[in-house]
Amino acid sequence: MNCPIRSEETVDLLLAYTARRLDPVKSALLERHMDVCPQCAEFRAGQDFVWKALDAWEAPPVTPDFNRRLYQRIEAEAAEPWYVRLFRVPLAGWKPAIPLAAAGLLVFAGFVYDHPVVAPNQPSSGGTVRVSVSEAEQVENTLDDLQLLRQLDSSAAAQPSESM
Amino acid sequence: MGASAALDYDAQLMLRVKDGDGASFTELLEKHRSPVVHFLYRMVQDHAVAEELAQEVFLRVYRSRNTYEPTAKFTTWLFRIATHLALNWLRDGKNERGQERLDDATGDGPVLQVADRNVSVEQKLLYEVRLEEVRRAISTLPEKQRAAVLMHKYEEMEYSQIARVLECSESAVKSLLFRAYETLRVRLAHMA
Repeated sequence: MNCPIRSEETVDLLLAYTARRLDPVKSALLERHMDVCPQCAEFRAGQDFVWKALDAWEAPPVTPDFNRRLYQRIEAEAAEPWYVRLFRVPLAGWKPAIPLAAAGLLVFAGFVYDHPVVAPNQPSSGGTVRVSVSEAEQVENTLDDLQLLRQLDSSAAAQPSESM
Repeated sequence: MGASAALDYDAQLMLRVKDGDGASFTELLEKHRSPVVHFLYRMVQDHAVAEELAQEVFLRVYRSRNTYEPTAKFTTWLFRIATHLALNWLRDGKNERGQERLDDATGDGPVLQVADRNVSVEQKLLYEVRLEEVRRAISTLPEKQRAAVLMHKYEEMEYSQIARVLECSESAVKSLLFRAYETLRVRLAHMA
């Protein structure tokens, strides 16, 4: 027999042996091998010890009202409105929907990116006119020019009477 | 009763629950309550938390009755739910609760009966110390290795079933178990 501890494929034979789950023929073969293989014998001794140590770890008994508490929860859930229960659908049922929803969202985002919505120029409401800063400056300059012309005009009209 | 017969029977019970038979649910609960609670107890090392998680396991089983399909062994499905809940609990509350339980000298495991006159105080103390060493050694294993060891040792599950519960390959389970037992052999060697 080839040494099982040297191969990853057969090392579970040793685990199965210590768990007493190996069939009698294989167990006998392994025992004969362990008689001459110190490595496997050491493995068996160590594993036997772990097995016995784990055997000593008993779990405490289940509390007597376990069923009663469970049935209370079941009844409480049954009394809940349908829309609350709807959100309690087992998660496994939603699993295939999650990647689909993500893919759908991506397609939608791609579409929106490719077709940006251009807002049409809205007509002004309430009689207010939107003007840019440069337009306002232009109007101000024109008004200044008109003011200057008016001043020149009035001074030109006053000069002939003075000369006369 | 063989494994396949047990599979058929549990699955049949679950299908009866699907048809509205409450007694079949009770039967499933009676049969699997202790293994589920004990598995969860050894995973989270807190009895009250283990019972709470076990309640959630059976509640999920009951909620899923209408969509249940016997595609896998019933216990595989049951332990998959239990493992999922335990791993989530450990990942969510590891920092706050992890070490706290281990340092709690009283623990909540079974204790030797003091009334037993053959057990001396020294023996009882020795037993407690050894038990604490085992609990500590198990708790230091990575979560998946811990789950694999507990299913292999206490639930006597086959590699293939553990693989389905943990959603990994059979060879991955063998590797998990081998590494876990190797760690335990080293950690518990001083007790031998």
